[in-house]
Amino acid sequence: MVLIVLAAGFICALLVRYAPGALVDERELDPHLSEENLAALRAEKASDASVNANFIRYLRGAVHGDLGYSESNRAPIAALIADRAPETLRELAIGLGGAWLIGLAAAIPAGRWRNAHLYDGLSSAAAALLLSVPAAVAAYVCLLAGLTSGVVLMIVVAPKIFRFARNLIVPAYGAPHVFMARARGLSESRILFAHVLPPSAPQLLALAAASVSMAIGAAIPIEAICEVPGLGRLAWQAALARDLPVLVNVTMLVALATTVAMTLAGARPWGEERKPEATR
Amino acid sequence: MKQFFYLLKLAHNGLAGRGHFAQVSQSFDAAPGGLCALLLFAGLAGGADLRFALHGEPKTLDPYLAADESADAVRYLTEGVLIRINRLTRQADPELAESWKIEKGGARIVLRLRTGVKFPNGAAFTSADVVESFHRLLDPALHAPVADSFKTDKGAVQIQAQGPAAVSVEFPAPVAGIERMFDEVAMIRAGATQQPEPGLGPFLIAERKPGVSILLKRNPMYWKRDSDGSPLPKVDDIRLDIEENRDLELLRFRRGEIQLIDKLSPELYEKLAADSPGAAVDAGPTTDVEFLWFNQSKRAPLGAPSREWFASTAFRQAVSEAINRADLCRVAYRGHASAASGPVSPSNKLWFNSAVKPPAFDPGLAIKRLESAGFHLSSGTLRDSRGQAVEFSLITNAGSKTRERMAAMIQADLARIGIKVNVVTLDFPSLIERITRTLDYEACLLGLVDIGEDPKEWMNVLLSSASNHPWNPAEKSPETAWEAEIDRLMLAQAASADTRERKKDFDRVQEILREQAPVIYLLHPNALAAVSPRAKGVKVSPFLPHTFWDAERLRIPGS
Amino acid sequence: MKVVRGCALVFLSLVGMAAIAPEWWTRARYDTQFRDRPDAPPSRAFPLGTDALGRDRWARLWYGTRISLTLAPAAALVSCAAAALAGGGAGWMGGFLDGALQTASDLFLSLPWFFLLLMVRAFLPLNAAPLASIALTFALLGALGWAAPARVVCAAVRRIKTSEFFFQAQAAGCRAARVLWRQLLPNVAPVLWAQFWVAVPAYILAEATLGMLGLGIAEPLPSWGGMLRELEGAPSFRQWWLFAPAVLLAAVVTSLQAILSRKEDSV
Repeated sequence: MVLIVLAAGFICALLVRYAPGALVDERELDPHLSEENLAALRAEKASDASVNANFIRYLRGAVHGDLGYSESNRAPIAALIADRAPETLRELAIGLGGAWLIGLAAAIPAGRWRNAHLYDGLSSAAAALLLSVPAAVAAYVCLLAGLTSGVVLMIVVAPKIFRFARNLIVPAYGAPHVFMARARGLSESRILFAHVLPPSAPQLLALAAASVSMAIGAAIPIEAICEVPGLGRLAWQAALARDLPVLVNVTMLVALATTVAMTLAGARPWGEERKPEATR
Repeated sequence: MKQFFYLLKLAHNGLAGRGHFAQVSQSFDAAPGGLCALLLFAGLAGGADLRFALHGEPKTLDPYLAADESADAVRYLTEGVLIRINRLTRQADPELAESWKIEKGGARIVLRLRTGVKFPNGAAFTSADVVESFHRLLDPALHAPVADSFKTDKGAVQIQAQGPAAVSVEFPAPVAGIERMFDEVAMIRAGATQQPEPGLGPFLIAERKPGVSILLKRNPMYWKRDSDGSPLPKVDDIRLDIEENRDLELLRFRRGEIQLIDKLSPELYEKLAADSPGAAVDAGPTTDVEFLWFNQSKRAPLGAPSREWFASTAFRQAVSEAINRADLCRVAYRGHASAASGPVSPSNKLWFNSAVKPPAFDPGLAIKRLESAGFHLSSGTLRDSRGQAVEFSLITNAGSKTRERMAAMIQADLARIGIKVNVVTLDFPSLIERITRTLDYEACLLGLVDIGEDPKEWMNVLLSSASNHPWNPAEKSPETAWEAEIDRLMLAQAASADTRERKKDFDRVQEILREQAPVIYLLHPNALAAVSPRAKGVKVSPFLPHTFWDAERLRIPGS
Repeated sequence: MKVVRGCALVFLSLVGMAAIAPEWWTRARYDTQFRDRPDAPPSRAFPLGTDALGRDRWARLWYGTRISLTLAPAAALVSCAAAALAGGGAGWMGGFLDGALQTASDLFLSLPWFFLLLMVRAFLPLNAAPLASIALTFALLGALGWAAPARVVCAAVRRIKTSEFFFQAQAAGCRAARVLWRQLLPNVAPVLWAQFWVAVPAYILAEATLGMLGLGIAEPLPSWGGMLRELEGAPSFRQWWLFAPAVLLAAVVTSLQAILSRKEDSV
């Protein structure tokens, strides 16, 4: 995991350094700048040219808790991350929490009332419609409606949760032991919590882990569009400003989150949950 | 800089929004008396929160290094200067210097300082501070952009204290408009240990969230009083949100979350004017200019045909005549721009050459001119004397809707005279790299903003040796006779203090640029702003800052 | 559900036919500028109004449909093909390859590939045909988008390898090629299809985002992504016509998913 995170940081540094415009400053076009000041500005930028030296310096600093300095924000990166992380975490909590509530709440009736074809068709169609609306469009529409970025995230993630959860829960309700439990007069809540959800728990756990990674991916465009002062917007601003130290740190953070989420998701990622579609 | 990190820490510890307190506590060690005054005024102050957006994180908060619009805005609001150019009247107004006298034919100015002015820590403002300010400004190691106008090749500028309340600034030779040079020179405290230190402007930086917002609090020690004697500024604090997305900025304005928009795009202006006509303000033409130019650098990796086309004056003039500037103003700028005849805007009344008119839109004349230069139209395609179809790429910066639209309109206009234009939008760093380093481009559409009125402002663009000389940067010596003439005229006007002589020289420069068309000047955009009905006392100026140049007098009643 | 699928099929056919040759039936070309009528609301002449330069939005929508419906699915196809190869191979072989795939995909999912796109654009001549330039960008997007679907395919292959019918086929002495062709591929196909249709809208929007960074489809060519940029101004819902590309995109993808679900059911 450490190696993946370090490799992500180094490749990111290479990509940014060799992208066009890596060593230029927007102020270079300022007609007020004299030749002398222009030369000084260019020399300052050129001093950051070595990827290896910079990365090694970064690692040395990171060992001592210094994540470097953001030129575009003129602040230490550790402080920037500490400042922005709560906003992103709050957004992720609202988005993921809401998405899971909505996804499960919409999926359970589809399994409980197996003959409610209209409900199943309508909910699936609604999910399909939402799935085909790009996150950025959803963000614009939510902005118009005055909704927060957490709600946008919820709208983006919920249909995915619904689809996978439905595909787990519908066949679980169709299992013989559930029929038996119902015949013996067990309450619906008991059936749900004792006989439907527990067999699906490993897959749901995997889905939970993978949904974190999915939400992180969606958070960047959403934060950039809604101008939420979170890590996603920080990454976007850094990309436009070619702020290498910030990008390396954010990439390593994303790599860490992705790796952890995928490890937790383990050997049961997305595709497996699609199987019940065919069993229906 | 340290203070910001300190404030940042405080914010993390749950004191967000109380940065003013933090700033006050820093001042405590220096001057307990000053602290008492601070607390007293802070407690008594009425008014309310004014909020507007900066369109990017200031690149620096050091008042001498400010070179971007956001940094300029913060400097304007937080620093005091000796003489300020009034954004409405364009007159030099006394600020920290209550009067001045120009001597030696414009080579020397003696400034009499205002008495009773104090820094936020309670220290009195004296001539020692002025001398120290200039000492730091002119430090060669600092590379301060503002210092350039004080540097001459005839010798150093002498700054001398004439007692505690007077200072003389003497140039080796007369300088035109000497009193107008102090508008951007912030006065710092002699002996200040850190930069930036709270200054003499109407507001102090109280809290900074990098990339998110800057909170300014009123400077309780601010010296200026309103006409009725009441203390200024009228608002307690200003929150500057860092907001890159202009659409979102307008949405927030409509929701009442911000009260001013200093720069509106024509499209957003029209949207706002349709909903709330009173809030949208068009303050008339700015000194900004939009233009395109062809790459004429010999170092550019261009093919022989395009190199020859771009070097042809007839070709450049024909392209200029084939572009419908009136349509660009009407469609891309929704009528909020005026056609350009040259680099100087008609709003710059003193230096604009009214004898130079914008080229009339005439595709027929353009074709005739091209034919006389060896080009010919064949089945709707313009070909040069070798039969090569005329085609070039036009780069501009991505994300600017008005420029993208202008490029599409130019593409359609030039298609009428058989020229194929490939519009390529590039992100800004990539574009800068192409036009300043690799020179790997054919034509570029760009603009210059916030240009001062004096012809000296054009020195770093029009001199052939300048790195920002767009069509052929950093020439070792002028490659054409007309460029040599521009160099001579620009240097002559810069060395003269005689306004009439300077005007004559600069008029001729404008004529040469019109005749040779090395740069095809397109239009001068108007200053478009939004002012909430809640914000009182806002007088929108065509010069930057458009809306908050009089920030100390702005009010938000009833909140 | 048959009615829904039938409607979806008819709708897609109509969209496809309309997008094949819009020059035959739209009143104006996508680049004709009616400069006297910029930003006009819908009318008989301009059913979806005009854009900021007075270009017929209706015509641009259909020309854009042709471009977007060609390039985005092509990119999705590239990424799914790469995912099938990488994910399928790793899942089939298992062991070290499986682990390597997980590691590589984690790495790929974390990197800011936007800079690679910038680099590629910098190497292209500025006078490259706009379509060639954007086709290359989409090809690159497709090539870089293999990581997430590859994990899915890998998991699906792993699952199939442990299924009863797979053991039965092996026990019956089927050759590896036959097992691959008759057992594995038909069972992995729905997973790939699902990934494909998830990727299509993602690539359409990626094109819009790239447009903001100068990597999108150059003027004056229209695309859905470029037209979606008109939503940046957060227009009011009264300007419903600005949402037309978003609605068409959602309708097309939803219809495709409706048809896809039939395919899945038949597996």
